[in-house]
Amino acid sequence: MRGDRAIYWIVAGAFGVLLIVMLVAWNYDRQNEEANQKALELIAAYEAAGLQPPERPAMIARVLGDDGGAICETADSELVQGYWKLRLAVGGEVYQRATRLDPRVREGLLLVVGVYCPEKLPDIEEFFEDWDFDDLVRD
Amino acid sequence: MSTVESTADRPPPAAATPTSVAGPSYIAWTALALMTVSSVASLRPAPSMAVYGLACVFLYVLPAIVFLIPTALVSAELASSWSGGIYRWVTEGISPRMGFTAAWHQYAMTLFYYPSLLSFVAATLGYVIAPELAASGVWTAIVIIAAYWLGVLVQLRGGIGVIAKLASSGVLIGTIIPGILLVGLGIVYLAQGNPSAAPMDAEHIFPEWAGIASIVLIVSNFGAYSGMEMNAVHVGRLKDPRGQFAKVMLVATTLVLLILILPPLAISWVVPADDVSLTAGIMQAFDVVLAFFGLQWLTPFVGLAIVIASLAGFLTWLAGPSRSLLLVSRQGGYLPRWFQGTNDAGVQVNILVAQGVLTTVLALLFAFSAAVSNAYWIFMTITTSVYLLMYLSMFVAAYNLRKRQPDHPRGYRAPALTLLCAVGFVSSLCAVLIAFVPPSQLTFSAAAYVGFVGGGIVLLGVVIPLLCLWLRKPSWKTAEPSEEEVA
Repeated sequence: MRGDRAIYWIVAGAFGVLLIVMLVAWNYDRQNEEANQKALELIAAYEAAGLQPPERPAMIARVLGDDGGAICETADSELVQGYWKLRLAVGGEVYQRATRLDPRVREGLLLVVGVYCPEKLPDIEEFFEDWDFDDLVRD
Repeated sequence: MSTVESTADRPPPAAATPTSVAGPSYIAWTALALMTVSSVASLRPAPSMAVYGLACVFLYVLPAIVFLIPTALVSAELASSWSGGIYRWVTEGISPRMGFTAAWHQYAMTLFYYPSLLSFVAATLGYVIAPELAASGVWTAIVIIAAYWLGVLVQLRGGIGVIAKLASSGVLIGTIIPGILLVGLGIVYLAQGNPSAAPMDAEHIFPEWAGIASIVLIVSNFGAYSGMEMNAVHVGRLKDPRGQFAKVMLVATTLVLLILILPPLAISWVVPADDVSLTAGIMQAFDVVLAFFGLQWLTPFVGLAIVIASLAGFLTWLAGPSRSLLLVSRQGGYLPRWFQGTNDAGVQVNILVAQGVLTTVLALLFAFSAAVSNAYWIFMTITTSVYLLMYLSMFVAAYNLRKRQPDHPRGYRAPALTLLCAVGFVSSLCAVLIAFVPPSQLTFSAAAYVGFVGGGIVLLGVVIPLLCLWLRKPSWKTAEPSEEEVA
């Protein structure tokens, strides 16, 4: 039992250290004037495309900042794109099955990349080039 | 919560004794229920299901009727009547060879699952620590390989008692609490008078009808509740298997339904279906919801919680199928003696090490080969189909056992078992067959896809188990059935 207790303490300690690293590394201040401006641009792009934009510009600015955040950081990575293919699935924890998808999973991504990191837009367009979507979400 | 009970002051279990490779401790039934939850449900699929808005409820309720309820009730009857899990049920109900094959089908699910799950851990950590890490092959490979081997180390040192405690705590911290947070914020969002991003009226109960595409979407999700039976291999660790496993299934089923249905619904209230966050995954979906309320300082806590939940699910899967494979191999001599090696705690060390080598290779290929990472979803399609073959065996075995051994003492008798087995069998078969319809991600020839998936299912689900059965030797038997299980 003493050995078991040692395992629990080691695991708890490891997660404690990880939490500290995550708390220190997390970017708490992504919203600035440029981020607000970009958020307005993105909402305009959504509306121009006839899509439903997120509720508030501040919400977009806080998530995407002024550089598109994690999306633009990794959009042209083949590893991340492979991971997207894996994640765009139905199922539960262990059962993950690729299926037919609605084009909405692509639209928002193209708009964000187009506004925040347009230089990466060709990579995303190429990624989705041969995908075959179906209208599966009711308007 | 106490998850492991000392055996010192308790009588041995009435229905099933711990096996000869078992350690001395019991598992509390609540811990086994939470382990089952961590095997089946998580928040990971929530963003991709949130795209469908209110229809995501239908997409989970229909599989619950045609797959979850049959699986849960049938495995509750089997586990409360025969210890040992899937290999024992199929051995008794069909044949020993099919028992090994079913155990193999369950184990095969894990071959490609670990790199997939642990790459999610790497991406989640990267999202919080430094987004560019998600694109780093080195980071992804290190996280997958380190997490796998540390998980093996924990299992070897602690055994199932420690796994039960860690996994049940993990699902509580990492799935249930963040899930409650997400749903709670969604309710507050609506209560504040904000309009739901997804329409919540009667016209949106079902997904849009798009012919075969809609059928593929619906039927592909039939297997969403796979894994309900997996922890039955530990039923001998319950103090009262006959009485407690039905309770395990009832609690687990309720929690699984709530975890899979409510979070995507809550996300769909706040995040429009066109939003990039639904492509970018659960962390960004959480980030958006938290940003709405100015609570983004919580994101690192949520990130860690989700990592903990994933590792809990990983530990649970590490402990279950490999143990089934060990038990059936010992009794039938299906694997060479080296693979049957255990440590002092009775943990299947050599099977875990062999799988670790494979996981390490797969992790390196996933991280550094674009061809592999881009094709990984196909491997998951193959392994989920092979896993569903196990359910076909399980439903046939349950039906046979009710017919052939009607008087065998049962801790729980499933109502309308024949109907349950028929519905479960047909839905599992449909989910296997629908795998052959190319999904949206397919960017090469449909014929090649069908050949690849079909070939993979035949290789993994038929050829490998047949080879093991063909090559087995009597000298590889290291245990008699009576040593390992007591009905």
